[in-house]
Amino acid sequence: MNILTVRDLRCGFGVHAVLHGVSLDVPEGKITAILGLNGAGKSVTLKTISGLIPTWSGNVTFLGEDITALETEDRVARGMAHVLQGRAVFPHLSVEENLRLGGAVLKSKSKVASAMAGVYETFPRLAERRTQLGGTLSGGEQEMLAVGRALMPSPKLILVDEASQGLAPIAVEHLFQVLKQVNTSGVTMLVVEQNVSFTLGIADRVMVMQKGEIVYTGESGELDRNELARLLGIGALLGKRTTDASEAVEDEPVVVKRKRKPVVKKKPVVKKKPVIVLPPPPVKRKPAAKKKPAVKKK
Amino acid sequence: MFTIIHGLSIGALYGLLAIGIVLVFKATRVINFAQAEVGTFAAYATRWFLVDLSLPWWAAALGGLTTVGIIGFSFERVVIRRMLDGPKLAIAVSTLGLLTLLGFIEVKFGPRLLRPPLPSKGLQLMGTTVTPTQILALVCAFVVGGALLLFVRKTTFGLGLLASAQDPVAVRLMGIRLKHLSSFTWVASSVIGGLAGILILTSLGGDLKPFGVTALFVPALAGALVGGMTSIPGAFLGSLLIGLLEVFLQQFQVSGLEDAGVFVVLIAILVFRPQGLFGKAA
Amino acid sequence: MLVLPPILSRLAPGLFNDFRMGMLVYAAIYSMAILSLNLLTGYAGQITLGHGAFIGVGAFATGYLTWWWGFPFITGFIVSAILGGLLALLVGLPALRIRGLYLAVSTLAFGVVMERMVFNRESLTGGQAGTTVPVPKMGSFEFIREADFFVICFALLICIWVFDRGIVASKVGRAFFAIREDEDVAASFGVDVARYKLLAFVTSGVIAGIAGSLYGVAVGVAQVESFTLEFSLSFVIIAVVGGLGSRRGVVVAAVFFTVFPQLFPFLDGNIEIAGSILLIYTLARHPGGLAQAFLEARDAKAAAAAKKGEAETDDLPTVLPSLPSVGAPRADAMTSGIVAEAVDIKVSFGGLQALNGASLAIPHGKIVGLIGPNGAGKTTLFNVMSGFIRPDSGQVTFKGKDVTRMAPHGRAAMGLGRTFQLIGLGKNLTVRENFLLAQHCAATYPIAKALLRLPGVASGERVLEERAREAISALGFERFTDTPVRNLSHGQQRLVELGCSLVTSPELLLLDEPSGGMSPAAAESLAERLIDIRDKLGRTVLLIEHHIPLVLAVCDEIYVLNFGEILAHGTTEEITSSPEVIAAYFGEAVA
Repeated sequence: MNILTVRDLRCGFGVHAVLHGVSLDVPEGKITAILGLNGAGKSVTLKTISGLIPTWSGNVTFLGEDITALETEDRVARGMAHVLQGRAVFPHLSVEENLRLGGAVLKSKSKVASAMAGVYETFPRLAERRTQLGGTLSGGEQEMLAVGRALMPSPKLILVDEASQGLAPIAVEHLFQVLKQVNTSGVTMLVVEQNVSFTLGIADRVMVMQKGEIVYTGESGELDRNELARLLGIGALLGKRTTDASEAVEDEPVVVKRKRKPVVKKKPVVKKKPVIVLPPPPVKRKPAAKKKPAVKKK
Repeated sequence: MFTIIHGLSIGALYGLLAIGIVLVFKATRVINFAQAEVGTFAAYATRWFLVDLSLPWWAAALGGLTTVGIIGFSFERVVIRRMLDGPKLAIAVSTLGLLTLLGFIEVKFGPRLLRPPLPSKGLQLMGTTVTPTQILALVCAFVVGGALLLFVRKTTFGLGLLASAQDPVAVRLMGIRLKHLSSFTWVASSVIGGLAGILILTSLGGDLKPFGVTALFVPALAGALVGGMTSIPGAFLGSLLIGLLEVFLQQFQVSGLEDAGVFVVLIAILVFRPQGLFGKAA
Repeated sequence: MLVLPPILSRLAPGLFNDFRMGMLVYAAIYSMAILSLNLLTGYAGQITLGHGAFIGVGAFATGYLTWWWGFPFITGFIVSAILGGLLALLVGLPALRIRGLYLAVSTLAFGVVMERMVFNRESLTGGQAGTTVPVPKMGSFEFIREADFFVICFALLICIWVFDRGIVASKVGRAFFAIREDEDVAASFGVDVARYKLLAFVTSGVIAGIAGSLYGVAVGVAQVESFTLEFSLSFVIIAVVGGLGSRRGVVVAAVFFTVFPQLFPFLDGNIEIAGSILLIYTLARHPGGLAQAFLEARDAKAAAAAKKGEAETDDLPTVLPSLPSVGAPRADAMTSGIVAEAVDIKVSFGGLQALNGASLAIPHGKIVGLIGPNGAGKTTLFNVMSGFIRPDSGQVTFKGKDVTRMAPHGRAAMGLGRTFQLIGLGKNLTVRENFLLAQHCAATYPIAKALLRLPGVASGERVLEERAREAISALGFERFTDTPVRNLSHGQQRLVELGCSLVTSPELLLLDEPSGGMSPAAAESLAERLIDIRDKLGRTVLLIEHHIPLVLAVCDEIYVLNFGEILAHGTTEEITSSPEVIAAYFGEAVA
């Protein structure tokens, strides 16, 4: 069952459209990820879902109810949480105060207390720092606090925007483990990421966005690395020869070195599969002086 | 000794004005230039309730504070809320409009006399003369400041107020309505400003004059800036410092030197430490 | 000229009586004062809430010199102007550091302090009684009659009006506008922001001093109670209601607010209240604020036309027009070697290490690409190269010179052009005005000449106009010439920005995501244009771009930035054959 359904969503700023008809489903209990490069419209999608950006047309259905016309505060009250990009913790409030604010919609003090205990259980690190100001935490801790705060009202769905941004890979790995753990405890997630490999490690379902449109939807295991690069719009970086299958010498599929990553070898893909040749380690050459012909775009 | 007590009592009154400035700044990121003028207006309104309606002092003061509370509420509703998406400077200039509007209404009434709430017979305290009204002012300043501080730290709504200065969008995502916060701040800051105005005008003596305490906006703002603009205790403490500075400079018996001192502090803070004396660099 | 009004008053004594002429005297003086405020706030965007102090200084100085010391009026007048200018310079100094709201606060505090500390001082100004300001004399002729004095005031008002118009039509006015719009953009076109800001303050102060001198004469006495906070604020009200930035608007408002209460006594005392309400209304009705209110008033028609035009021609054609040609290369232009180099640049913001020892070198006549995942530090490196961020350590050289500590406008004047991710144009200025602004460094006439409208300015301006027209027609944007840039589509703004940066005739062009807002087809066409810049115009380009096909199509060399460090550097083949690059884009740890 889908906890969130978005149909033909359009929105933008001024006269400039950013989303050109986005449709997506978020199945309950799963982690759904939207991948895309900078400027693809991922954050705008999340903000439109949580009501921070008004819709031009289309609708958003949450738990079977059309919430398109509702304000953000009402959506939050219905069990939607949104972790903003850039670790939007309140820097001058303590960890505990941040969490108390997260529970603002809870009616009684005891509920706040038990929710806080739950968050501390998930993030023991936060319990250690409960009196520290949000702004003095490390990047990874701030992101945990942002997630923990969003968990306070026990939401049904959490939207997570670029949790990995600016974090060292080791911190990203840890954070994503916790996200997976939160998910297994029954919270549905819609995450937006640029960090492809970590995301594929935890997501059940993947969508790729480019220029305000969703260009691919599928199970996360179905995606081939090259196909993904192409969908993201950086396929050209794989080198020109990769598009020419006849030149392929060894058909070695690229597996990301991460252990948990469920990329399946040689899985047939939906579209025409480009074959990649793993090039030898780059040798530093002098920059070629002559002009290069323009690369043909697909 | 007298200097210190005098300085602190002046500073405490600036502190009330400064708290009002900080409240609005936190919620709207705008300096409310009308903050002190609201105080003059509250005193005028109080006088009207007191003299024209012959109400007792406490009721008249309540009437005056309610009047400016309503003004603050309506101004937020009718003007500020429409402008929130626009540039902050435009909002600030619109508060100048409120300042002159109230001031020129006062001009129509002209200078008036407002008798102090308590008998003006002085008390001897550690070798200096202090009027009961001054003591009342000091007590009010500390009580209001303290109560406000407790309110913002201990209630979720108050925390939301603090947080909205740091990240308003995130506050919405906590399910707290910014509109409510904004209404509250404008009413609260108007009432606090009104209280400060009434206390200043009655404790320092002198007639009610149009734009009477408007010039005090400058030292109060200096106090708020010393405190870093977003901290309520910081603003209060900063204002106490400013009050002390003024009184010490007055000792030099050169008229106007205290203004120069405040001005220099203000500019120096703006230029060199915009985060305030107690704040940390961003 | 002096004979005319007495004749008039004799011919029609009822029409030119002292009451009416006195009214007009005030109207003229207020108009001058408001023009001075408009120059500072409306043009240069520096808000001032203590303007009454400059006027007060003029009035007191004139009274002091003529009444107490017996100098002729003209001395008092000149000293007033100078004092006004000096004082404004003093107020302007903090404005180099503080902006917007805080600047407003500091000017307000300045006004209050002047009132309480200087004007209130017995020894300086006669305290509460004030200083008498006698009627000016010229030989045996005394300007007792208001009609005679009005001639002086009116003539000066005309002078100031013409002066004001001259400023707007020169590079000085455009520099002011650019500072109001965006100081970084101004600096990127070579405007020395600090200098022009101070110039705006001084010019405004001089005019205010002149108005103050006349004001003293008109009142007959300079008193502390005249130059209060409300006095200063009333100018702000008039200027905002009249329309900041609109010369005609503010003068009409000034005349309205001075003349009407005199003509209709019931307005006296109420006009200020009405003015305050009008001020609030004006601001609330135009949520875009002062600038928008003024723009709508100024060219409501043009804006309406542009909005219509926008509906028809939403975006760019898929084939981009050719770009405007650049001027002849500079005398000191480099023809080979490394044009610019950044060595071991480190920058941190708070705890975040944005750049961690990044180095790159840009050889002459090449297009160098700078790519990397979001947050890698590309734009920070750009800002370091163009001078907007001073690195914690490391060195930037441009044309063989160490420019690490040089301000952005200095680098722009040396021939470093740049564009911004969020469009580096004056958004409220028209396309034509932006092209003129871009040629700031090409307008070689001195500032003093521009202010006095001496010969040489007009011919210099004509050259700029001609180049602007050429550039606009090269882009095929003739129909948008007088359209404010904000009314263009994102892609169109990109093209105008690119055109503007070329008009500066840069040797090195830093382009920050030039294909942003363009359709893929237009981006492909952009590639050809970029190659034109290199091959036909012979310029060097550093390009940040996330549209990878474009980068691969045009770049001779590519640098890949990741976590603030250069991850890879090489030709397009080398970059595309490096697995590390794609790994960086995928967010994988790279050994």
